[in-house]
Amino acid sequence: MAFTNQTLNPDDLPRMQAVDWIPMPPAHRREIRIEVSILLALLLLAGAGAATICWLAPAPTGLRIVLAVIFTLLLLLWASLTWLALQRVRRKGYALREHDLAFRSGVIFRKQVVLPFNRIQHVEVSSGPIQRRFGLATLKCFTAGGTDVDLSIGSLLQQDAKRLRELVLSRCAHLQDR
Amino acid sequence: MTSPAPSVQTGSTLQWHRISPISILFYIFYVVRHVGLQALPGLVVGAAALGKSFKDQGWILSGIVIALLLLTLFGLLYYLRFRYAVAEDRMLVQRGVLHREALDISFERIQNISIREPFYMRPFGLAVLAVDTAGSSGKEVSLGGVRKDVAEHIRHTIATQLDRASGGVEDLPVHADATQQDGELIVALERRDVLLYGLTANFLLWVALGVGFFFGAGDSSERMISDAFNWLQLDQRVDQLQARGGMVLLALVGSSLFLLALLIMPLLSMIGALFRYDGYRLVRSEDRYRCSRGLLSKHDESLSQHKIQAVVWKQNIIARLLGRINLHLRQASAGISAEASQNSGIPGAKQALIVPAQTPAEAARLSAEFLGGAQPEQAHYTGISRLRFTLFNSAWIAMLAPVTMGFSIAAVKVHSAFLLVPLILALSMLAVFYRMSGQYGLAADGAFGYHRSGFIGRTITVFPLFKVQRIDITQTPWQARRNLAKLTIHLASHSLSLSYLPAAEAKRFRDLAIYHAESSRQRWF
Repeated sequence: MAFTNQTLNPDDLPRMQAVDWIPMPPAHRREIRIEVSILLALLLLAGAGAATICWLAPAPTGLRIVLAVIFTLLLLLWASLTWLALQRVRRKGYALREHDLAFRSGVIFRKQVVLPFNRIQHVEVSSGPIQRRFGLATLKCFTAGGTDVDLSIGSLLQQDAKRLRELVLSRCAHLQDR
Repeated sequence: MTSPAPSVQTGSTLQWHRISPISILFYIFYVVRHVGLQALPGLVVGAAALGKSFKDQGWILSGIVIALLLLTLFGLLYYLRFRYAVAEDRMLVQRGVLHREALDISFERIQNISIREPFYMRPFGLAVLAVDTAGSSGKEVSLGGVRKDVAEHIRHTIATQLDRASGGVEDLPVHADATQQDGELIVALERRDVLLYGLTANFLLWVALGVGFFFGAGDSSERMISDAFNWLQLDQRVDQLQARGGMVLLALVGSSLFLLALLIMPLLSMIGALFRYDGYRLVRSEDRYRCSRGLLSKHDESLSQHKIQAVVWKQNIIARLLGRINLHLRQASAGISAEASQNSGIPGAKQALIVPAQTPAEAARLSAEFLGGAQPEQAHYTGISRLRFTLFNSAWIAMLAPVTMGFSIAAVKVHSAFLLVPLILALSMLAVFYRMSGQYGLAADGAFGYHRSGFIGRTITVFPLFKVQRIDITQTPWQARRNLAKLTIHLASHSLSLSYLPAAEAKRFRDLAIYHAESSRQRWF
């Protein structure tokens, strides 16, 4: 193989901006809703517990006010996190190109990750209990160096995740066999 | 004493070998180096606390003796339970005292092979063969105490296997005792260069040690200093000096003592460098670099060219003053977090292969040699938005608030000039951020990328674009408004990032790097 080193015109390179982002399935939104509901239920339970204790054992007014303020703040935090999580679902998207896989996420802190197929070392599909209920799964891709996940796409429909995994693996094999 | 030479096994039966009993010493040193040094500040504090609670110093002594006995016992057990075998294409190791491990290392996965001859093994003609593997399950295996020729033989077996696997050279000419003489000499260091490296290498480590000593050890260090004062009877001497020559002589003696203290640190560092890097030779044969170094203990490492992920030029303030650059050859990190392995000066942490104390011209030549044509000195860097970087980071000035409060009180009670102190501090922090913002830069030419950062020192990372693993672009709302972005380039060895880069530049660089990574057919790993 002769080594060449031609000058590249940066404007002619394939651009990432031009891709179409594929959104997450509607079930992902439902999954998020269930998750935040569980969180809210826990929060309300804790609040009810604290209120019962205050009612049974007469606590000083100052403490009651502090507890009430904390509870309200937690509720506000929950509401804003929920709003953000639902917005994030809309922002999330992946893109498949001939040679790489890209993922974008984040509402406030926006992030785009690009992972060439020929750098992927292994691929994992995982699904938690809530994801399984909705037939969802997360696809994780790993490269060399470091042990953490390089790209994690979640949640996809289970069959889509599996299909994507097959596709990524076949592309990896194909590119390495050239 | 020594084990018989393991012949390379071809059949299905494996012959298990033991290492030499000297390895007990090796494992003791290993534990002391890895556990002891990192826990040193804690131990100092602990010892100080113990010294306070038990007036009887004998307790400490017996504690140390017990610890040493335990270590020796551990070393002995480790030695007794250690077995290794070498087959045609793999190496098998059984090790561990409480937690037993059976490792099966196929030669293909081996990332590095190094042979060390610690000073206590050299009289017996023994060596340590260390092998580490790549990937997320990276393991390091050291055969501590095998005969030198056996170690060389194993290394040769592995190296030829690797070369055959990579489809490169068919078979290297067999030198049973392959020494560092064969191959093309790339770098040979003179003693002067090694000493220069000693001056430049551990600067920050010394500062950190000094700071850690005073902050970590607290009152025990204070007590030590007062003890030293008592022991030297300094106050009497000061009186004598003053009586004889007055304040001038006193000042002279004081400052020369301070200078002496300043000299000792670099001196220690230079001695350390001499022990580790004396007789440094880097030799190239085919695709493989071999580096041998060391005064008493000999180190012998090898590295394939295609495994170099990046060449890092490191220059701290002293190195810049001396006009020297230390080159670090970075490989894929095996499970260790890249930041930690990059920044830690802790001995024992996995280090990159270093080419110490090179002049800029030599550094440029070597970078071109290691990476096949990179030209870092001709790179045109794109800077970041200096204003935005400085403005954003100036939020750190808020950390001065408690200091400012203190000085405000002093200003009210004593003199209003005290208000100047926090002001000067804040301004100097701003100056630091502004200076740093000017150092950040990113460049690309042909097939290589260059990343520059630093404050007074400077770090330049040179990497082939096709070895990029993954690229991230992130934008905070604040950056998005100004059309800036943060670019993170993940290499197999470590990641590089650059904030407040014009978003268009970041995207252009990403497209270029991804293009190279995807179109290249060269081996990156």
